[in-house]
Amino acid sequence: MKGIVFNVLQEFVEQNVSYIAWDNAISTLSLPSNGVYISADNYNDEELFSLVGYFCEHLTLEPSVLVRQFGEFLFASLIEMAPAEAQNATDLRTFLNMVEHLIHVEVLKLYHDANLPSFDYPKANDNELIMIYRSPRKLCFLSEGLILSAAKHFKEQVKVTQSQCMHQGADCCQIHVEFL
Amino acid sequence: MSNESDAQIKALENILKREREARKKVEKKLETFSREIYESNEQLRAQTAQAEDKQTQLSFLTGLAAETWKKDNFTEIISNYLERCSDFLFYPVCVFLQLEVDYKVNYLQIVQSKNIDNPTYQTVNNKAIIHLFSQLDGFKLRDAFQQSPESQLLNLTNYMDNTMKVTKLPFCFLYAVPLYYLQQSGENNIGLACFFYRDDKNISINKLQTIESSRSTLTLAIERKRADKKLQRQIKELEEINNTLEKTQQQLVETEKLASLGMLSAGVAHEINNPVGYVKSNLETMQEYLESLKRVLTPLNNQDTLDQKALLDLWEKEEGQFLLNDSESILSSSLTGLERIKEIVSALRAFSRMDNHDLEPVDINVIIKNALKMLQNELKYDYEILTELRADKQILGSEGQLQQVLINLLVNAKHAMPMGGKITISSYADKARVVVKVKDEGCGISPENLKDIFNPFFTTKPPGEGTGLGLSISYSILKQHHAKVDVNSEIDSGTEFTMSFFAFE
Repeated sequence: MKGIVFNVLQEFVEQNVSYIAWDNAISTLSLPSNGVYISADNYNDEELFSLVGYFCEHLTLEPSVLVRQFGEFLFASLIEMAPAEAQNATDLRTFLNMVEHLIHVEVLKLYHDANLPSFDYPKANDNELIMIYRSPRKLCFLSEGLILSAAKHFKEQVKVTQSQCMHQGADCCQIHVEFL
Repeated sequence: MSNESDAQIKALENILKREREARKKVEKKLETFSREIYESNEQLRAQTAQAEDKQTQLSFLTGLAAETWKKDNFTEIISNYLERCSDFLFYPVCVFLQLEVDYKVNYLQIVQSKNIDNPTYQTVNNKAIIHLFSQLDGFKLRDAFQQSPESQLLNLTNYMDNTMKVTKLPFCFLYAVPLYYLQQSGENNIGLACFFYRDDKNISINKLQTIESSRSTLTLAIERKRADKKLQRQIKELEEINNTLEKTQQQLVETEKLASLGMLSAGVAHEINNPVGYVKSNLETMQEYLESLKRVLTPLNNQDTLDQKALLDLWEKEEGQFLLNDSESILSSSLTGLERIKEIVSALRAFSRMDNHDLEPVDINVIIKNALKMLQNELKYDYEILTELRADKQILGSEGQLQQVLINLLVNAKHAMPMGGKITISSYADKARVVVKVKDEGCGISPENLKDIFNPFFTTKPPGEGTGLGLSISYSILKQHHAKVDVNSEIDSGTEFTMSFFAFE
């Protein structure tokens, strides 16, 4: 996982919980990085899962809820780094279609070692978009949060659900974005 | 409250500490990046320089190759090569020479560079170079290339003739490129391109390697040029042989004509002798008639003794009226006979004319008739000749040659029917063409022979009887007339030759 995700997670915790909560987590978990994260470097995925686990426990939140909220928070940082074409997309559907075919391609140009999830877009009707999510990290809820935040960015109303999920044993997650 | 503040301060201190550490790491990373960028920049610069170098070398090689193949001869190839190399190598003195089997230097060709403004340009007059070559040890130089047939950078002092008192040399180094090895009595004459350097300052090993790379193109071009020259010589020889062949062929046509003339001569002589015989006999009779008439008419000379009765008696006695009547028919028959002789002689003359083979407008019907006249004696007893001469257009042709063709075809028709038979000759105009057909009702030609009948020396006659040249010569004459020839033949039914000429309009 890239350091930027940890940096944004730190901001998320500091803003929504407290500096102390973040410092306690880092001090308690004795992570290999010691909590020193550089945005462009890669860190073990386990560090993220440990941190998420820690906060879920201390805040008594479901991981899916916490991760989804973090996803919504993360969007603001990621959209700034996205290529101009994506930033200037006309609507949410166009933007979401760009995730796999433009944004991820550009990310890989900058960070060839980035471990990105993959998205497929099976045929869907006019008021729905289906995104098939595949990643060994199973961070489908992070994607949900990102999509919700993107909808706000494009001032659109959506309902995001999953008809199948890797957490329920499926081999991929099927995220439905319903345009309201 | 204070505890909480302390805890917050502590947490912030920890966070700050981690941020500083992260910053140091980033700075270190930045330093590494900067160094890497600097190094890759340097590498890029070196690669660019290398690429430019390669580009120059490539443009030298491709330019040289393109120009070399365009040059007309060996000297031009060498001059161009030396000039190009001179520019590419930054103006050393460029010389081409051939190192002979006897170690002598031959065919010296020196190129002075055009760019005399260049400070590295080395001026040495041709005399000095020739003098230098006279002092070279040809044996050592040959030996160097016998050991290794590739281009070599030589230290000139090692290749001077020790037996001669060599004065100070104008050059130190010689890069010698063997362009060809030309075998002469078991050994090779070596064609060497030589590039002379005063010192090693301007020598670029890379460039010299490029020169070596261009060697194969030059070698190939020189070999090709030599092969071209050889080919041209062979083509010329072939042309001469072809001319001789054409002349021989022409002679063959004439010989064949003479042969058929020989064959026909007895018949033609007979055709002439026959009328000559009866014209002579007619004239003898006329002589007797004249004597009788003289006797009758002499008394008319003397008016005084003219006795009309006696005159009339004499007239009756000498059968005067018969003499006059018979004389008329004798003279007309003689004239007919002489006319026949005249026709045969004129046909013979047209046939035997050998000098004029130019194509001129001719009437094919006249030629057919002349041919028939020549063959009259051959054909008059057992052969029925049917003519349907309806061609009303002239063709471009040689009268004598076409007559030869027709005689040949008619004689063949006769040979196909040894016991006699019918021969049909027809001519007619068909659009822009004039068609002539000669048809017999003889033994015919078998399909396996049909494909060979126009080949020289092909004959079905027993040895000694046919030359096998008749039809092949006829065919070549018809080809010269741009005529189309067709043969239709059926065994035991007959053969028909069809010749189609362009009409002359």
